[in-house]
Amino acid sequence: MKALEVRGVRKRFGRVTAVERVDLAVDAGQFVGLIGHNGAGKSTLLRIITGLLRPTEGTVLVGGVDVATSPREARLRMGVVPEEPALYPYLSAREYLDFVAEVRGVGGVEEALELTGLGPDADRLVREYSQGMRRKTALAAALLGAPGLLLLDESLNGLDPPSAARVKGALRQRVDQGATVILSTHVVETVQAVADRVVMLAHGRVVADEAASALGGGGLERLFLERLAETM
Amino acid sequence: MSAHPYLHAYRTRRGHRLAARRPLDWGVALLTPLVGAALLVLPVRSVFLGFLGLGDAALAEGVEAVAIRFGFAIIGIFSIDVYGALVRGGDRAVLEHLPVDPVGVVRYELARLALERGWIPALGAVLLVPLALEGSPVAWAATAGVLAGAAAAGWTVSALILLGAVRVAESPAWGPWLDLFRGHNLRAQAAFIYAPGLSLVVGGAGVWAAAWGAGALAQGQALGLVGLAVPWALAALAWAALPAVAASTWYEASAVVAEIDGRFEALADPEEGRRVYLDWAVRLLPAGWRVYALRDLRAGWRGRRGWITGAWVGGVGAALVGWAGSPAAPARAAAVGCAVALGTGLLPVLLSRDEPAFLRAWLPSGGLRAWGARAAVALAWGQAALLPSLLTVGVRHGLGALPALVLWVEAAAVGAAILSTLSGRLMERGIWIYATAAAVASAALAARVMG
Repeated sequence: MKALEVRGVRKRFGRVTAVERVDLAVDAGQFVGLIGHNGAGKSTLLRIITGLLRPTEGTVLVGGVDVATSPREARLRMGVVPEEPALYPYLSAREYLDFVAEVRGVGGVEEALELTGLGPDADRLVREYSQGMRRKTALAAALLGAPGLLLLDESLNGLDPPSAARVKGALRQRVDQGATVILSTHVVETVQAVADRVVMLAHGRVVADEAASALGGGGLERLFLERLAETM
Repeated sequence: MSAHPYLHAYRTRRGHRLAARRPLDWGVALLTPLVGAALLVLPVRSVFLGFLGLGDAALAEGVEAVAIRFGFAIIGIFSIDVYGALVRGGDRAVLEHLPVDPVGVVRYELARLALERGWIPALGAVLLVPLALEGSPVAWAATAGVLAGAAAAGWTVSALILLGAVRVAESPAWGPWLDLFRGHNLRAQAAFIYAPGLSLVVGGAGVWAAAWGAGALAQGQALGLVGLAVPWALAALAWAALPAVAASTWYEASAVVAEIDGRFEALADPEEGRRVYLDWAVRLLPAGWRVYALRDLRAGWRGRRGWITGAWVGGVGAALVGWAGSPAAPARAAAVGCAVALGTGLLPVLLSRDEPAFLRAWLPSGGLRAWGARAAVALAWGQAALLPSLLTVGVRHGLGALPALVLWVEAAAVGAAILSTLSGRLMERGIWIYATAAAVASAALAARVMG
């Protein structure tokens, strides 16, 4: 069974097409970098995968569960870090993680705080946090219960270098344990540093789907620019 | 583990929020509603309880009328509250990514609203205390019962109808029906727009029956208890039906709302996003004020739209009061209009509080020009308190009734604009100071206008 299957997904808003016939199958234990220019459709595709947006056509299965018809079961199988995480400002990170752990029916709060480096600040209210610390809180919440699929939308932006390295390490560790990570970003270097596979979106279409190892050196950036130029 | 994680997290958040308050804020926060309620008793007595002392038959009829008005207002307020809590509120943004139990979330949201908004029917009962003192305690208790029933029906019936609207929003079977009355709105949006109206009709039917019951009880007829129970029966039915509807629609609501937003984004003219209510009016101001006025118009419309549209709702309320045939109706409309203008006046204080601290620290304040522009903007928003009643009072009572109406409401609007702009400089504390002053002014103006 695939960790994620996106079958013939198309999304239109009136006359505007945001995502055009995307097919994607991702095995367990893969780190996929989803890259594309601003407005390429990355966030729309991620919102469809998380069930927050319904596709005009097509289906999404997470661990074999249809996101549209079984939203709760699908969410149990995934952890999501949105580009701008919505958190309760009047909870501390530890209290927020306790809440998410209760909702998921799992433990592991201390481990998640440790993995993301939030430990020393875990008892401060989220309203006092920087954007980077909010992202780390959302990431720690997504890691709770070790879901099979982690979806991260531009989630490494705004992290200081040590935090970014720590988070990349934590994600890599989860992938080695069999989880699947999909990291959406427009920063080519980030994908090159962590991903096993690169899926490139331009104007709502998948224009490249390659193993990262086949794109050594500046290959990814070159491919990105070439494919983008072809779609213009 | 907690049996109700949502409620447990809410209590923790509430505890932190309250702990962040300073002692002075506590005192002001506790005293202001009490003082405000005490001061509003008089204008409410003048406007809504004129039947007191006119005999038992008038008492029963008056109790029924006032219970209907207050009950409908409560259902209207709660149906909008429930929309915020279940469809577009901040909780949804946090919870929609998580594998939450939809039924538990909906129950938690209704419990939260009951805790946060329970003061509204209680305030209604306090404002109607003259009914007990000058009429009969039974009539007052029955009317308070109607308000409590309206609250219960308002929360539960609105929740059921709004969650049902999620299903209707994208259902092909309902599409042709929505097309009949959606105008230029998207189908999904039409379902949400008309849901509060349907809540008002269904919940209002319960209020109507309960108000009849209150009138009957005021006349000593025990049968009135049956009428009083109707909104509670509606609430119980809606509560029983909620789990099934919530389970199938709570998650779907995120997708429906995202669809509406995405469609509007795709349609949007880039210039359209910058346009706001009354922005054309800045050209009437001195050149140096315009940039500040435009800032306040944009910040107010985008951040406090409910408050601004609420001024129109209040203005329409004043217009309805002015439409009555009684010779006192223009004065009553003026009293309500003054209260609405003073209420709308809270906006500048809120705008001051909303300003990010770093902007206050790093940008020049703009001095008198900025404060003048803010007062002018508040005055412009306050016109909603007057305009609808100009029409109804003018048509029903003749043009001769208009000068007094205009004079009183404009005086209240100008006073509110100046006072609230000055109060805004005191930030959080200014809210309570202005609210207290507005309640006093509202009571004084009502007493003066009503003679």
